[in-house]
Amino acid sequence: MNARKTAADYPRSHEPIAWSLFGAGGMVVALITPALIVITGLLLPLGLVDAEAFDYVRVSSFAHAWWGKVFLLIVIALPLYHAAHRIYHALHDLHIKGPATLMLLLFYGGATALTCLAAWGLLPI
Amino acid sequence: MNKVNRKPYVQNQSRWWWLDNHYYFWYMVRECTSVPVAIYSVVLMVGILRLGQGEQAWNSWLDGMSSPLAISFHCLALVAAMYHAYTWFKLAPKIMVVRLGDWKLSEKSMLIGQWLGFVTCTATLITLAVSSGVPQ
Repeated sequence: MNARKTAADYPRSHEPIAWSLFGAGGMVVALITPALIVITGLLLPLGLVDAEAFDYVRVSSFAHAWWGKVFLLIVIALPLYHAAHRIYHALHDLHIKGPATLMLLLFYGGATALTCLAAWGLLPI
Repeated sequence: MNKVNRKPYVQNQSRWWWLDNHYYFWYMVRECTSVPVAIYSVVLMVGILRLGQGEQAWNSWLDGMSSPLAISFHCLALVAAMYHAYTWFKLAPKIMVVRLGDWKLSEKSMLIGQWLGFVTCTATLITLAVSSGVPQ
């Protein structure tokens, strides 16, 4: 008889981390992203607000403040992890297959790379 | 490797299984909302990078946001984010059951609470963005 397997015999899953980021991202996309899209994607280009609202100095001072940086990083990064998780699983649903490690690296790694790029851009402002 | 002469059962599922009924179809639509959401994050990230490059770069990003392509994309992204919000709020009370002893927060009140949160967030963000005073 084989010895009973214990938790140590199974590899740790990445799923809890991926799912937490997915869940947090889902909340951000549901609560904050619609307003952001309205502000930057519609009110701004359609000229429905004062151009001053998007003035370089105003936006810079927002991104300069630590809370502005935190806000921007959250609204950029969490939706990326949320989307990476969904796209990774949707491709599986659509029978679009690739080596598991490569797919994980591509989506979660891609979200991480874009997050780092955003942070790198934010820091000196 | 064991070479066992066997014939495993392989279920042949069409890649288009999600067109079979409307539940599957709207499930796939929900999953696909993540594509415009991801692109929008990249749009914002590029905005940050352009902001860091100075006033001229920032203004050219603003000009880009006014192109017909950008406006059409943002209309699509808004619909996607709203559909995501609708499905997300509906799902949350099923995933997260709030219990306190015998008392349980009903799905309906959780749903109402989330939509109130949505209205508060949206109104606050838009007000802050359009008010000409810089919030410090």
